[in-house]
Amino acid sequence: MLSWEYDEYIRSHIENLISKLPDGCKVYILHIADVEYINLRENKIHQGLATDIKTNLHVITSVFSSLGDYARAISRIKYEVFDFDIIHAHDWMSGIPSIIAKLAYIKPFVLTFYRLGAKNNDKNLISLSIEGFERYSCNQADALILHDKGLRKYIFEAYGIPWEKIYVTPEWDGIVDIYKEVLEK
Amino acid sequence: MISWEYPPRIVGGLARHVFWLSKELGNIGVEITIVSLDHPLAPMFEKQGKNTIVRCLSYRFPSPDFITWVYQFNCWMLEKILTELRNDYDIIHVHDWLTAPIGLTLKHIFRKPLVVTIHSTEYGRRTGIHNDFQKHIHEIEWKEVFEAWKTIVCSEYMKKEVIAAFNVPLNKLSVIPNGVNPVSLDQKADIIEARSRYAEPWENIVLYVGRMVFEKGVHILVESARQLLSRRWDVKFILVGEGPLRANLTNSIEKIGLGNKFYFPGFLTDEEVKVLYNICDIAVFPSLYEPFGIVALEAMSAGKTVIASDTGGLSDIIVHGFNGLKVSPSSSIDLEKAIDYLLNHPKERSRMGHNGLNTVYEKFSWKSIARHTKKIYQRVLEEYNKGSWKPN
Repeated sequence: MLSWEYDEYIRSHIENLISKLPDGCKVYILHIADVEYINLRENKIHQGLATDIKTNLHVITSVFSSLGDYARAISRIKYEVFDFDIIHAHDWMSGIPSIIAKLAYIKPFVLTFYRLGAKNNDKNLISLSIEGFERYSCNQADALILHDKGLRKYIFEAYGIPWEKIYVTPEWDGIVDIYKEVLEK
Repeated sequence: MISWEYPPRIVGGLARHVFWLSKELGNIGVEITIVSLDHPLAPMFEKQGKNTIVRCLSYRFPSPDFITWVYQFNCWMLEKILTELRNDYDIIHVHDWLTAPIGLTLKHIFRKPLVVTIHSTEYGRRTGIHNDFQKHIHEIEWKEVFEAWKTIVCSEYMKKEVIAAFNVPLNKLSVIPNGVNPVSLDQKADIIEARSRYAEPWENIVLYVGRMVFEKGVHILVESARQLLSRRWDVKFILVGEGPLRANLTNSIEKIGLGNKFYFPGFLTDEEVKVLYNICDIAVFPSLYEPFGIVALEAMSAGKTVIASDTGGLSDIIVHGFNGLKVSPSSSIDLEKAIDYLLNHPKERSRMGHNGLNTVYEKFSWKSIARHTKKIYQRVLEEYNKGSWKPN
């Protein structure tokens, strides 16, 4: 499970998701380390990434200057902890390192959006670039899991993502079946 | 080997460096795959001798600034490497900060050793770190050097600069100079004909090649020339290159009525510059900051005497009075005296030019540079193979 932020909002969503997973299912959560460390459940492992790059001009430079840190943490999980089955990113920012992991280790990659840069009315070169990365992440994802149907319609129309690749589950109901379906594909 | 420029995509000196280094490494049995950016005149996949060139799209969507564009193409290059090359290589070699995120990511994701070449630093290029953009680049450079198994720099001067800027342990750094290809013309007749296009038979040609920017000290050369031309009239100054200072310099020269003693041809092709190296009498490089100074070597390879600032890589290359003259950086008076001295002493000029040519052949051939680089690769692989940091 990769996230950029790990604030109350994202944490409550991920806690809820984990509660829907069967016992024995291991989850490793990676995010940028500026929040408190909390073990969600005994069999869930949690790690914040520390990045040495301090001067981040905007969110895009932050993402790419921490790409090596994400790669280091992902490879430590793969080579030293357990060989995971699925990568689930919780925004486009963690979507970029997830794409790296997907392509490097040939693993399925699932992406969840809670909000979209494309829906931002304030258009400038940064937001257009963010839109580009959102579209790129959507294209690379094996499945998109969203919480509301409106967002599904928007991603379908704005980013041209196939309808059948986008799943909508408001409370992560059926998440295990979605994971299984993605793994089978 | 990962580089954002590779011929025919030439932005600065990096493209030529990567081209010749990889070519000569290929000739001594090191198989190189170069990953670079697209160019309208080049295929996306190409075999050049034993080497493979893979090119990626450089543009997919808008970016607000240069750094963001750099990160965008890092993303496309990574995608290409991961899908087409996977982990089918032993060492990752990146040049400068522009492809650092790729190097760092591949290093960790496949646990392969990373070698970095630092051609110049943001700190040195701008004589300090003055804004957030620079600070970001500086920190990326630091991280790249920190994570590298070995860092290669092109001169003793750059070694000191990298140690000072990034606090790198000495044993992580190796000095391998840049290489140069001889630029001497085969036919003497070509030289006489070409010379007549640029200067009168009684005029001596003083040549400058480089970007028209402050750090190259071209404004100091113009000041020296102005002083010299007040005493002697038998000199023509040819200043090759583009940059923000060019318009100001040409305007100021026109104003004082010396327009016919200067020629600013702008950017020239390699072939045209080669001709100028061969027809000039003296080549001058008055840089204030110069990590290496490949242009000085090119002039020396044409057998020409070089006058250069006693700074950076130029200090390593020039032995004062043997293969050229060194002058204090930013001293137009010193530079004027040195030009005047060489114009008055043609035998000395010839002796130093001859010694310069020998220096290039002995120390700065691409074959020798490739051999040094191969040794570093071998040492890195030996250390890597002994260690436990590997994928399993």
